[in-house]
Amino acid sequence: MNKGQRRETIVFYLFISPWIIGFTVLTFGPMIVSFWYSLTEYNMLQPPLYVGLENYRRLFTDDPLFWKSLYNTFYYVIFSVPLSLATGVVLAILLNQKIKTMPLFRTIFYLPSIVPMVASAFLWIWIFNPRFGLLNKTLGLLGMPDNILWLSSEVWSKPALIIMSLWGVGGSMIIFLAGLQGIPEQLYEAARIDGATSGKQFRYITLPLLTPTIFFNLIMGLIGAFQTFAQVYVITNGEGGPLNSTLFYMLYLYRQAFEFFNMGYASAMAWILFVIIMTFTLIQLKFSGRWVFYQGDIKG
Amino acid sequence: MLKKRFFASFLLLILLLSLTLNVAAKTKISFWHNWSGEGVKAIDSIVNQFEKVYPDIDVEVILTTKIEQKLLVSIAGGAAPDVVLFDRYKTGQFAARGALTELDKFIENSSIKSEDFFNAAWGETIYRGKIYSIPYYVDNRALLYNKKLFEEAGLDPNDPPETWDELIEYSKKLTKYDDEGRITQVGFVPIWDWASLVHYIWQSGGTVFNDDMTKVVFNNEIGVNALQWIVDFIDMCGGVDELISFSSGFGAQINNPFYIGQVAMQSNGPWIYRDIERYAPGFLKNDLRIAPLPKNTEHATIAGGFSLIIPKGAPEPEAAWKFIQYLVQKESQIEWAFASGTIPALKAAAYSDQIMRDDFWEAFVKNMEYGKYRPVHPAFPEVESYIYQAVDKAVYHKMTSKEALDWAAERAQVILDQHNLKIINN
Repeated sequence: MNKGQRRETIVFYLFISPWIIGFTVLTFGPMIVSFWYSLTEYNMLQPPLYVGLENYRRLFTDDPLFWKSLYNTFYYVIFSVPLSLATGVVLAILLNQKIKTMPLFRTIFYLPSIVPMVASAFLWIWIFNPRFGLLNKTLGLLGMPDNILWLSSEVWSKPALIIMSLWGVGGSMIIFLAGLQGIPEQLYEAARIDGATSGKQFRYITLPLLTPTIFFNLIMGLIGAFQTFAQVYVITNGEGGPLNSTLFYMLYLYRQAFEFFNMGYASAMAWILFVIIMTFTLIQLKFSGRWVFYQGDIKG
Repeated sequence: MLKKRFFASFLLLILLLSLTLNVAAKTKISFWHNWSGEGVKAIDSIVNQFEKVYPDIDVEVILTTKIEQKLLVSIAGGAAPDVVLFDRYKTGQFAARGALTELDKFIENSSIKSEDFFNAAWGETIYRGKIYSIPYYVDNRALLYNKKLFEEAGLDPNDPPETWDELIEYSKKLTKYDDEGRITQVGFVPIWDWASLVHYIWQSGGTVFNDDMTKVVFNNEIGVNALQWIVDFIDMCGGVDELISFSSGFGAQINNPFYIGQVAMQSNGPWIYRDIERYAPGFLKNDLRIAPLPKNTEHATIAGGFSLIIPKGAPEPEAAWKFIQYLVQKESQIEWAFASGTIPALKAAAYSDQIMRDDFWEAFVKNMEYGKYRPVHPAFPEVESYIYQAVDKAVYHKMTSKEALDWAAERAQVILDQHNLKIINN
């Protein structure tokens, strides 16, 4: 390494040092500490008491609410993530048309995702109101059952939250839009010359070239959906009712940590969630080669 | 020359004086509370009076929310406040974790006597034989009912339901349906308005734990019968779904379902006074009536309220104790309670003419007689969350009352054992 190179290396590390320091002190450090706490009984005031894997044993064998919250969370993830992806793609395609007023439409469709979660949760409480809510009224006008209890029903509370999650689809929609605009126009031109219908263009050009964006949004969506918290906390008053049907994993973790002050137990829960999310992300990465198509891969 | 020397010594004197004044600097204490509105003004006024009586103590009043979480963090971080107005019900949870200062020694050398306070409040300050807080104000729940609806239904408003059977009887007569069978007015709903199964167990003479808090007993015959009574009551009204649907149409403030006659009877506490006074003064004056909650075998109500605590590690516990003593004097108690719309924890203050100013307050002060407190045990909040779940399972008919309570009791026993083991180990 000559002098110039060494200098460059030092400058490089100096430039990324805010991130390195921030990550080590504020993220990685606390993570390690929380792993230690997950092996202890800890209530924040008395020194942690080492109990080995007892917290994990209790979670897996002795706590029905742990499994219930895991079930609720998976239910939510399995439906809300693909649904959000599909909605995001469809909206992005619609907003990729060449119409004069398009900037206006893009703004309108993006707006909901910058409304703070707590505010939109309150809005949706009204939309889902069984007697006066927009949703039941609309269903009634269409001649469908209009007495669904939505958030107050054990069966409908999770679907209601999934519907509500589509409200925040604007973020991924913008990324899809960028992905769509990155597809070279000449591919479509060539396809049209060859006589491809718009359906075929979508199937053989748009979709394959959009897969990297879909992949990105899928992983980010999974990570986000597993950690759903604010909306259920607001809607159910922090309880996860009715009948624990909206007791999501993070909500149960919060209750253990800040209502019952079982910090060790909550730390163990956090680590289990970390492993789950990590596993899902790794599986995605492993299989991404089979369906994700990067333009750079086009050879010769 | 002489003049100069005189001047110099004069300056020196001033310097010395100001130094000694600095040495005798005021003791600063911080006081956390979570009140708003009239309560804040009363606290500020009482603090001013206190500072006049104790010129060497300065009280910094800090208004905050989510006090429990913040207190925990501040104690852990070594920055605890001196006095906190604290939910008395959490005393056991915090005392068990060593978060609170024992007050027994302070009390011995003071004029504070347990018998001057309401039993239900004082009892809740004691965890494993030691006192951890001084009650500041209390509340309880009573049966509030609408005189006009009673008369419409042919019931005598001067003869409110006294027993559970009568409550069902009255509720039937006070519940109305439209042509499609949907509820338009409900008599009473046993799971609304702060009512928990614990209430009904007490009213049947039962308890949540056994006497030494080693066994969960809420799933015994008394508990099961109490829960079954709730389930039958709800089914009689038309089921939990119909009640949810009905209540989703409820308004707030001037459209509160109780003020406008959609709900004829409810279990509620004195904190509703301000709202009723503001949004439905006519209803308050003419139609609101108050009676003790009906009994199965005995009258009982949860008595909650707030206490004053000194956190562990408070910088100035002596000054804090002076402040607490001042806050629970009769005059300060009356001033606070009158302004904030609460019941003083000090009996002499509660029974004063100023607090028993009208029928409403007289009824609630007298109702303290039936007050009971929740078990002072660190496991209780979590145990209670399982009791709530059991009630849910039973009223939704996911389980029978017995199954639901057995399920909850099994979990609760595990939690109780864990805490008790920890207590022994400490």
